Amino acid sequence: MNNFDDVEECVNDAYLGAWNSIPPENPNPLSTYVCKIVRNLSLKKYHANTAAKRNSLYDIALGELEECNYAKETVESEVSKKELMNLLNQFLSELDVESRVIFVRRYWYGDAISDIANDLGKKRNTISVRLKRIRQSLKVYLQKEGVVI
Amino acid sequence: MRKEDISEIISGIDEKYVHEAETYEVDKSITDCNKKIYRSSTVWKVLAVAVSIILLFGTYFIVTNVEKKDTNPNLNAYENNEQNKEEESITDFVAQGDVYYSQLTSDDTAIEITEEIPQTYMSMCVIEFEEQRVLTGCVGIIEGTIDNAYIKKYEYVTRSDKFENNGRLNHKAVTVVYEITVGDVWYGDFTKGDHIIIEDELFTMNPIFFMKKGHQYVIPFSDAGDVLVHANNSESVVEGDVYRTGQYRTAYEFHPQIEIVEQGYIVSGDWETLMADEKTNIIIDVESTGAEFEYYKDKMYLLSRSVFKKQMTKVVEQL
Repeated sequence: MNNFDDVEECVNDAYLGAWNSIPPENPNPLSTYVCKIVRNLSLKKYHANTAAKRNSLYDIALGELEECNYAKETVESEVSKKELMNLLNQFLSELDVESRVIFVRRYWYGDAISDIANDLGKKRNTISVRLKRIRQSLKVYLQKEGVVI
Repeated sequence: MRKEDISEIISGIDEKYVHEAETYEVDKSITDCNKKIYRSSTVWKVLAVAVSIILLFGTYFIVTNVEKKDTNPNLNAYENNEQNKEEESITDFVAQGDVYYSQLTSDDTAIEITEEIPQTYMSMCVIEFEEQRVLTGCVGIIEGTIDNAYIKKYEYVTRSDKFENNGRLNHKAVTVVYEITVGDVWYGDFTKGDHIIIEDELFTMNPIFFMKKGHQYVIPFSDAGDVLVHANNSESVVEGDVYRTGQYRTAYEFHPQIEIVEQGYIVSGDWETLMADEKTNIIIDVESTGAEFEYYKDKMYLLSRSVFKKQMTKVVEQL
């Protein structure tokens, strides 16, 4: 988000959100639940802040996924989005653990490639190549399922 | 397909995978720990075998030489002499191997930090220096002489509804400005003799980290725009000066810049490529304090001119 005030606000709102929703929610694990709240709030804030300019790190990460060329009509309805989510989870379940971790950290958490490389003890280039291969596999997988043109 | 849609689909990734990614590092550290324990036990085993062999041979050597020593006083004198020589040579090696910071450069022209500087505090996370990331934003890498270095203070007011309607927020900012004459150019659209101004909005209040007037440095720098970063993020500036003096900022403000001295180049150890060849350890023997100094005080090295030029060429090739 590149703005400390916004980050602080999102974290505070996330704590408030967690406080209000537990109970009735009983999340397990708690950290993932809180991470999801933080992510949703951050994205809202982020889209509001960057409505005019699109050049941030997260946009770059999402831009990488655009190469999968999803069919336009596929994402027009909420049902189709739901279907894509299911397919994505199905695809992830078939990946080896490390590839799945790399994918999730890059596109769910929005982590920089260098940070992922550092944490996994690999070279930056290795992670870039791994991500490229995963994206290509995803494209092939979605083509098979008929949701990619 | 819109990025918002992709983002929404990504949001639907199963929680168990999100949790898996979050905790994966912990599992890896356990593996690493096991590896370390395994390596450590292997090392101990090898050491134990080596020590046993040395003890066996040592005992044999002592037993066979005790009689000779007792009967030949000259041999004792010779051995004492050899021992003294060995000690001397070890002392020489340390003195030749390391150099003192104070012998290479001085901090006599560093910007003086006075009480007049308004202390503005902001909680922030300093990202560790990473060569590739720092180079990505570079518009130039030059060897330059610092003609002037000074502190600049800004005061401005922005309009904000955060606390009240039509509220006014008062801001203060302090920067460090460096006026530089460009020497050799490693990278960027600059020529020898150009005058550039680098202005750092973030800086470390430590003489080791400041670039000093009259000294020469190799400086990677990036474009910083016309307006102060924080003012640029504010909703609207209604009063005061927010226009920067310098167009550029140092690419990484939180480590000592590479200083050119008579004996070579003083380089911090986080330059991965520059550290790949022969280097001499620098002992920091000047007074300085702070966490950032503690981090770098045993990570400063002297590189010869030939080594630096060879390795810096490799750095620039990455750009």
